[in-house]
Amino acid sequence: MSSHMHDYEDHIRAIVEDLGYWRAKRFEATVFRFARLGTITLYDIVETYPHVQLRANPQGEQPHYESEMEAKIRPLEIALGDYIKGVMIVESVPVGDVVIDDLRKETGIYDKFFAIAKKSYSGSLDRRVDEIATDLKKYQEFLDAFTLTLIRKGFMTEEEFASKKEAIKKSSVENGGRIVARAWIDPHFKEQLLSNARDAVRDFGTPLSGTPNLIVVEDTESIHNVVVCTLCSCYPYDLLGNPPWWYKHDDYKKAIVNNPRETLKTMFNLSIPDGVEIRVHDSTSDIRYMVLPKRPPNTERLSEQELATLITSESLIGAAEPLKSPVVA
Amino acid sequence: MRVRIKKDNPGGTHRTPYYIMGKHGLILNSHGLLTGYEFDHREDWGPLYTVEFDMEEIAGIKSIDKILVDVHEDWLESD
Repeated sequence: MSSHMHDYEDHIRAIVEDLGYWRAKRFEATVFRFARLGTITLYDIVETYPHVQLRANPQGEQPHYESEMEAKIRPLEIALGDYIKGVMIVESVPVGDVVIDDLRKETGIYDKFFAIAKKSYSGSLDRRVDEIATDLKKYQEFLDAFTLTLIRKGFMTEEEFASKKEAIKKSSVENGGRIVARAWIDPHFKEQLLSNARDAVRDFGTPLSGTPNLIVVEDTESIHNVVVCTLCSCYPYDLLGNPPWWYKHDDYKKAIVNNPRETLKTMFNLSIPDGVEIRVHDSTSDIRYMVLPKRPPNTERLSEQELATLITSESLIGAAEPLKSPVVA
Repeated sequence: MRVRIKKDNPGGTHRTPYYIMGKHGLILNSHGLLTGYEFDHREDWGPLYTVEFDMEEIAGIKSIDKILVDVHEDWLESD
């Protein structure tokens, strides 16, 4: 990941979008689902508060940051990542008889009436960043209380929680990077990946427990692939972690299926040559898609590890090309 | 095999994107039944197919591009 943060506003916008989405649409919807069923009430959660251990600030040597603002934003992004992982864990706890359509009703997917309000931030960059940091701390505390309540009420054991935490730590774009780098170097692995991705990545040693089915689609000189999930926001989460915030946004979903060529250009500044066919994959059921991008030119000398760092979440979705050269850590 | 997507599916318990309803496409892949996944849905939704559509057919724009959608059998009619 680049050590230079060029556009603070872009980073803040992504943080606000992600935070709002995961708090309101995913976490609070989960809390209200339990409340609706009566299995965990709001008061159960309040009771747990005195037992919640407040998280200490990170100890030890801090990475070197280029600016004061970057030193505020990077930890915020890391803390947001932790929050999101925590939400994914509580979501994964089974609640008994639930139908997916009821869950969608609750989050306001069918009827905006039920959607929980998202917060917007205004004022100077400094002020917004401080306010977001304060909010995130509050949200994390409540998430911790809810998690503790789940354990206390027997929905999840401490051991189960610990192993879920371990498993989820492994989900990240780095998995995608390693897979793509191996496919670029090893034609046999690439062939396996394209014919049976699930087995190929399992044998490669990456987690794929939750994803029902995975298909990897290859970019070539004549084909460029793009992935979307118009019905919800399906993504190979347990393999790749969290997608970029725009992936879940209606703007992206509507635009990419209406005019993919134009959308890639205007939203992502990615121009696909006229003779290259764009293939949009809409993950409408249980299959998840990942793009195998073209290997960038002049990368023959790079090691497999360096090649892996060229891969970004955007490139695995088809919204960007891989980086041209390794990022200096 | 050429197929047409139904305009609605009163029997089905799952959705399909609105933008392919009534449109014609080509079956690219047959995935069979995907079962055993408790977290996504509770009933068997029938065999799954990947159907390829021309962007021209979907969006009415002149294009060489394609859109591929995974559609369950009960949404399909032979063309």
